[in-house]
Amino acid sequence: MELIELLKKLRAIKADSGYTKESRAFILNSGKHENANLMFFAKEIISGVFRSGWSIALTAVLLLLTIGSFSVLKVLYPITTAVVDVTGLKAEAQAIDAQIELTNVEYASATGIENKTSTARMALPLTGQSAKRKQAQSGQSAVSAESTSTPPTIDSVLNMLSE
Amino acid sequence: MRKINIVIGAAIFTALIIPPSYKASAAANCDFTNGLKELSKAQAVSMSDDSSESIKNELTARKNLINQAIDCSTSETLSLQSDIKLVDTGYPGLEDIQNSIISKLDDALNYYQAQKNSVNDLGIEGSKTFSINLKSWRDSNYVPVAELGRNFIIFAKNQYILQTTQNRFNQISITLKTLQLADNQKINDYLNQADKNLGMANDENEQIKDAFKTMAWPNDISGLIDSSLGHMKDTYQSFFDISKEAQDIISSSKQ
Repeated sequence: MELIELLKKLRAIKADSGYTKESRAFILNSGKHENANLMFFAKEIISGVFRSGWSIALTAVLLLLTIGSFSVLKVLYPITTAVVDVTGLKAEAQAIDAQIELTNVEYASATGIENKTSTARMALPLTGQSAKRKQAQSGQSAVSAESTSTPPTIDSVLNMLSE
Repeated sequence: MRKINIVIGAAIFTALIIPPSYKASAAANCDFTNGLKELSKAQAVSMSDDSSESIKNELTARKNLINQAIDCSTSETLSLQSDIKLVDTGYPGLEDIQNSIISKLDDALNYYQAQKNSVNDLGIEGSKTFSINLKSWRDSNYVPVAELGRNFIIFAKNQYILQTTQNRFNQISITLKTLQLADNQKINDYLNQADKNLGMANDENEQIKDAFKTMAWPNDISGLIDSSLGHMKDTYQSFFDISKEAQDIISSSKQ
């Protein structure tokens, strides 16, 4: 009977709350310590690289300045393409030439239409009684489509029809 | 089903290979040769024969030609209107000009339609007066709008070129400053010349725009377009001069 009572008491035994907290904190932080170490090493390596990179860069600049062959134009050479890009400039200039050509063709064709109209006007049939007499003598009609070498236009036809 | 596919394929192929000019002429027959021959024949008969039959034949030939002239005018107007509708109006002020010209061409189309409705009632003398009036209307109404329309198509294309020239000028100016070459006397002179020519091209461009806005006719748009393009070309000549000078300086600084 005493044994049973004793076992019941054993079930109620608990660890000290302070010890529990300490142990839990230790277990939980054990992994973090490893990560922190790794981060520390990585930071060290990177900053080391940067330090040495800056040193190299600074040395290079000093060398350039010391030797005396330093030139802004050489360093900025890629930017100069905006000025010396002859291929690009030529292409753009050719686009202007093409547009000038196109404009001339447009004007020439417009002038051509006017010339055709005036040519047709010159070839207009004779009208009225005098015309009828002349045409009856020569056996020709008032409108002679074949007499014009250029194809008749809207305006030249209207001119013919108005006679 | 296979036959239908072949027919559709052939139709698409034909539509693709036929040149646009043929398509345009097919829209309305603008070849007046046969019509004029018919009129010539009819007139030859009516000269020796004053019968109502011969007069009727001449009138028919005249009416056919007038109808054909109106159809061809309509087709010509539609073709120009279609070209104007295709213009890139992504530059300031172009859309308003485009709409004005399209509207004027719509007026022309309405006029032609109204004229066509009255052809049937014409007699021989009436057909002559009708032709005089139609020609006169075209001279004072259609020809100015058509010229404005054709010039507008060229003008719209010039906007891209002008913008490219301006961009190139800005780019070169900045680069010369960065490279500390802007102080070079020769380069500075060339750059000033380019600036001057580009300025003139821009001024002329604005003058053209104003002329389009007022739809003024006769106008000097063609001359201004020529001059503006000439100034853009001169601007590029200065760019080439700058380029050569800059190259010389860069290569000498390398040595």
